[in-house]
Amino acid sequence: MSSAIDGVGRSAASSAAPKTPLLRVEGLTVAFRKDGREVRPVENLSFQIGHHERLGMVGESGSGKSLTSLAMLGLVDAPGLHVSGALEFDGRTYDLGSEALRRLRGDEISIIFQEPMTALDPVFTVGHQLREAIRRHRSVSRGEGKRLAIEALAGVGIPDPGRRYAEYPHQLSGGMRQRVMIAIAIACEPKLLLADEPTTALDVTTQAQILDLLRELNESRGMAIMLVSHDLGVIADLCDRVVCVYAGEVVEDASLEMALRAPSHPYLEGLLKAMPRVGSRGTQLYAIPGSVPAPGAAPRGCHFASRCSYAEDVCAEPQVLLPSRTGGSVRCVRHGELDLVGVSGDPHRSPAS
Amino acid sequence: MTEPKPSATSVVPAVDRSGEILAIDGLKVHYKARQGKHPVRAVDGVSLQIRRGETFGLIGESGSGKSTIGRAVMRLVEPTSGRVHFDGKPISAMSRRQLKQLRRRFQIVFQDPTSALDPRKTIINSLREPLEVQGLATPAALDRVDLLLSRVGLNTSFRDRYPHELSGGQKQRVNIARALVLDPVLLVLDEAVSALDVSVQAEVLNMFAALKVEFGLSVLFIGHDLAVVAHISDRIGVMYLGKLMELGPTDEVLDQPLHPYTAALRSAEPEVVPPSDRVRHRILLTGEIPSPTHPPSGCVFHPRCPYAQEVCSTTVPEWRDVGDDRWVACHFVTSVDGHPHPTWGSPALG
Ligand SMILES: Nc1ncnc2c1ncn2[C@@H]1O[C@H](COP(=O)(O)OP(=O)(O)OP(=O)(O)O)[C@@H](O)[C@H]1O
Ligand SMILES: Nc1ncnc2c1ncn2[C@@H]1O[C@H](COP(=O)(O)OP(=O)(O)O)[C@@H](O)[C@H]1O
Ligand code: SF4
Ligand code: SF4
Ligand SMILES: [Mg+2]
Ligand SMILES: [Mg+2]
Repeated sequence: MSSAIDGVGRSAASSAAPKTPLLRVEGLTVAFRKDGREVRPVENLSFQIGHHERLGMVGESGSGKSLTSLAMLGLVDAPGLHVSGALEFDGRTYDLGSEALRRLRGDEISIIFQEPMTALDPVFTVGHQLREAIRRHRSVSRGEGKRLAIEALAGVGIPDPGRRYAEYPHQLSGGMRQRVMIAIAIACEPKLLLADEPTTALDVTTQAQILDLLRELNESRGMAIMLVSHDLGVIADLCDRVVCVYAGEVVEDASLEMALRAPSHPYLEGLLKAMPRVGSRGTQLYAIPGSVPAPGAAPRGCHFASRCSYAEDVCAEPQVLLPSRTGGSVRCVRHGELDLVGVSGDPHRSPAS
Repeated sequence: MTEPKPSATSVVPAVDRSGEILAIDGLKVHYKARQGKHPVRAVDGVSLQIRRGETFGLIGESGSGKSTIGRAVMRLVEPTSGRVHFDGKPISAMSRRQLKQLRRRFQIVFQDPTSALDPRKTIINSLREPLEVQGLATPAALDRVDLLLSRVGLNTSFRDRYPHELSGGQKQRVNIARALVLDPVLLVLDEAVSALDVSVQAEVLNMFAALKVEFGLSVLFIGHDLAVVAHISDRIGVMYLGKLMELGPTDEVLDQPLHPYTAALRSAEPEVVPPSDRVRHRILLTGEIPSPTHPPSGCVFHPRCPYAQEVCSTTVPEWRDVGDDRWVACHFVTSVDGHPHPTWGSPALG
């Protein structure tokens, strides 16, 4: 694998949003009715992904990350959930609530999930599943499909691919299954790979391997990646830009460098301060008071106000995304007056609390 | 902040054996295999001591045997061989009655905050239950339950609620209060914060640290997240495939890992640091953890170790006291300052 050294050759601070995006999500809303009232676990969410970009979407459990990624592929099919909004991909616009979106899937956009076991069919060999994924995309014979499949297994770092080709999903380790899922997902040569918690079920040394594989695919194929995770560490490892979501809304959009060094939104600052790190031993961690509200239970104005230590009367008004001082955007009316603390590389300087 | 590090030559006082609350010696736990003849060598010769008042962290990837050690300490599983001493007394030789008393002194909290609580019991009844089971439900003891509830940050409005009315973090607080009801001296926390969101995790970690001091606890903290385990632990032990690879004071082990596996684990841990500040080298391990039914010969880490030599596949490395309160199992690490690669960051042994 190419890059053994972390963080080298990556552009540092840059303006957050890409100039000509590969994909734009505009006003994504996922809603359902509860007790006669409309509840929106995802509300008016907008963001973009540039060509070749590695975008990370971070937020705690229940913040709406998975619903967002599913909606982008027309995969929200739970009864009662209503999806609206628009998606622009490579210059074409799609209605997020329509069937047309499905054409993008498995062609321009692919997705991988946390648990590859559920996405793989247990009754077929992994080779068969990969070969058929390839043949859906390219008209090749079975023999040629098999050859390409074995090549693809090798390409995602599976040792002894000829033997693995004939094995069933349960015969593979979690890390190996995730590699197979990646091979299937990229068989159609998508322009964007959506990865929802792809390493959460894996051990840390296997996680490092998978993140490295994703980085390599991004670099060698120019395929954009959107990585969804609750773990800022994983995002920091792979991504160039961060979209931070809270209670179904984007609260900050910034380059990775600025998101970590100088967060603009109090929620992101809180997440950074709450993380234990080498050197924090013996200190109190900052704990954001309370917990993520259930959909519909967040305060009416700034959704974060009930947990924010900077909240004032102005925060009772609904918040809009504003340009931030670090070249991105932020949903906080007070961002200009706040002097939030980020993290830096000095292991002995833990974030002030 | 880290404390100033002792220099490599500093004289560390000999370990005070009387200061140990729990001593594990040569512990092996082999589970009978369901099919096939080979047992699962979940724990395969582990020795460690937990000192009075300390938090000892056990870190390792899944399947490395951490939980099994916790279970053996609680005597929820019988050791295949080896001994566990509590307060100088072997727990394997204890009578049923002594064991019942011991169970009071040891408490365990698991990862899943929900499954440990009875969904049909109110919080206060769940907390009183251990006292009732032990026949200790005196008025004074019941008062203590209220005190504990407030100590874990839950006000009296939570007394009559049911588990489903609580968040994950709140349920885990109840589990912790419940573990403290019988006034234990040793707490085993097995992945106790792993299911929590980072902001809630911070709160629970802070609480552990405060309760440990207030109640004079010794803690075995089991986890897979290096940053979390390191944050809370005075000393850590690094497990791989049923064996300890390295053990020592937390800051020293992380600042200067002596075992190649510790170094790899440390470098694989994603760092939340701005890209332009990064200097770290990542050691990418190839392959995956072998099965504990057929652990590799010699050093169990040798098939994945970037520094493996011939001897590593034939001879089991000794569990060696390398000085400065540190222990390492590697043929090439014989003392804290005499090991061949100070950072283990650059390519293999010459
Ligand atoms: N089918 C559904 N009906 C009603 N509510 C739902 C449905 N699916 C998800 N939700 C709710 O929407 C919110 C967002 O869910 P989502 O799965 O997107 O969260 P997430 O950010 O991916 O969280 P995690 O980190 O736990 O995966 C949650 O509160 C969830 O309970
Ligand atoms: N009851 C059991 N029967 C058989 N094997 C088991 C049992 N419990 C655990 N194991 C196996 O023992 C090994 C160590 O498990 P465990 O102690 O749970 O590891 P960890 O807590 O480090 O993830 C694993 O390979 C696991 O599958
Ligand atoms: S708008 Fe107010 S409450 Fe919301 S994040 Fe900003 S300061 Fe906090
Ligand atoms: S004994 Fe050999 S294989 Fe094991 S850690 Fe040391 S160098 Fe590596
Ligand atoms: Mg999710
Ligand atoms: Mg375990």
